Amino acid sequence: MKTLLLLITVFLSLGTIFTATNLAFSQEMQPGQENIQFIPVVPTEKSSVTALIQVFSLDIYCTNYTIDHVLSGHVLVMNVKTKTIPGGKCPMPAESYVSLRQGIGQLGFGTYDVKLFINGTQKAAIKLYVSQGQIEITATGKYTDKQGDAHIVGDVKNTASYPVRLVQIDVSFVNGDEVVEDKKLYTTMAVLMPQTSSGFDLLVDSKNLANMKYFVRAGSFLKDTSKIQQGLKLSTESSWQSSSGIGMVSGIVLNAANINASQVKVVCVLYDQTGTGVLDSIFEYTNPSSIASGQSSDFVLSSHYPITSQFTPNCNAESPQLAILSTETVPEFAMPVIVFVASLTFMILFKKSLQIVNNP
Amino acid sequence: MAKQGAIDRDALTRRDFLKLLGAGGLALVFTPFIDWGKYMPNPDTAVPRRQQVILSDGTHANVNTFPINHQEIITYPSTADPVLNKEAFRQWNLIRLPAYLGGNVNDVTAFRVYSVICLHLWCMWKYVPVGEKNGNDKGQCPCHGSMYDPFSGKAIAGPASVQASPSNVLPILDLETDAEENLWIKPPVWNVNKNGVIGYGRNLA
Repeated sequence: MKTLLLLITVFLSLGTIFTATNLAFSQEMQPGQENIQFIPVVPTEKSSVTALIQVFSLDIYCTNYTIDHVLSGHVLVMNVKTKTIPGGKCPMPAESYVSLRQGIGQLGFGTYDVKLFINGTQKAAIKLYVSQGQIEITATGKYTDKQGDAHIVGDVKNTASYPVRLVQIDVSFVNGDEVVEDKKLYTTMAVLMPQTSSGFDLLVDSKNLANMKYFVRAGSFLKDTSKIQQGLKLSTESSWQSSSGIGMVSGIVLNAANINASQVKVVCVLYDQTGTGVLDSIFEYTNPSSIASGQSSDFVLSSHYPITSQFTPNCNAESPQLAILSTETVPEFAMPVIVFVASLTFMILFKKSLQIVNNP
Repeated sequence: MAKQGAIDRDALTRRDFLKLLGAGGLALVFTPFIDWGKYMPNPDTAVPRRQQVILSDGTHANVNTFPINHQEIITYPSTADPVLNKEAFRQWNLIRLPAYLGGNVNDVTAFRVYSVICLHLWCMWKYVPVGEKNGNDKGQCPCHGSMYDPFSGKAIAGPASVQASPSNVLPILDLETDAEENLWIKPPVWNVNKNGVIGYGRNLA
């Protein structure tokens, strides 16, 4: 009895020192025919949540799909209804999955039980955790680099109205219900301005962890009070795959501030075709890495491994002196179109001038 | 069943409980003053030893078989405890340099072994053999973007590069080969003027 009370006393004393850790995991992707996921995977209360539903179907072209959702407390029910189009021509589908999107809007803090019903039958159930913090986990992914090492990658966004720094990401590896290992790392961007994002890349150094399920959450961050000046304008001009399959992203960074910037870094997250999975998180310094006021510098980033599918980059830039002011993606067809129009104009003018010369 | 009015000598009295609470509290008050450090492994007193370079597949790294412009994580000093071996402070990046940096030579000069602990925030950095263009190959730390020169281990970009010496050069392990050209790690000297201090840095000779 004395021992028991002594133990209770010790545990109570320890409880005053170590506060309980509130583990909050991101959703777990369920493989299977019908699937539901969310963008962002771990939203904050300020995030706009979108549900992405994958429905298995053999008659994609002959069916109308309607989708609605009902939120009751912390239970979110997604209802998909299908209706066959009478008399419609039904070619063989190229793909047997239909991807549906449904805007959910903002959700309050907590864990939500999400149920997917298709024509009244429950097909999938997952949990969605909405963080009370300011950092959303937009999307995650995994890749194996050319040297055979696995990496957990992802994209995070600052939903706060102030800049943040030292954003720590926690990755938990699980085997069944057991958390096997926790790993921590920081985002590639040092400072995240409001509504901007950054990639992260965790090297999984143990082969045992490489094939385990994982959950990602934003750990901690500091409010940045340095009042860093915004002055970098980032233009992503093109993204392509090299002959060896390496994903490449190129563009220009302009220093629009009245001070010089050194060590200008560009960080890009490469998204897959669906826009829900992260293929890679890459960074590189501009060439040259210092940009004088009013000047610009080029950048070329390459992926860590050959990427077999199309990808879309989401980029951000920073330097110790300046933060991002604006980002833009220049359409890849712009330059060829300009060259084509210019050539056509030149030919027409040239022909007309010849006509004038021949028929004065 | 105890008789009414009899004293149960096994029962804990209120006075005993308060004594235990007081004792527990007193122990906790003095806990921070205990020199816990002396119970932890001390690299200054541990005797470094020569060790085989064992790759992730369990084989002994060999000069003739390790690919050029390639990297693998190795453990030093390795122990019998697999959990202890996973510690980031025991992990090292074994790099065979690209050919343009001398990686095509079949001796230990083609290799480098640097601590995986980035000198900025102690994340794990990795050698990335881009290979598309000479000069692109470098060590990359995804936590804020420090980059390391694979030839010297010196930070060449990012926050680690603006840190004062010795915190801008990675600790290194020296290698040697045996008669079969297997790689061995020579016993290191853990100070900033020799092999460096893990997580802190090294002075370049």
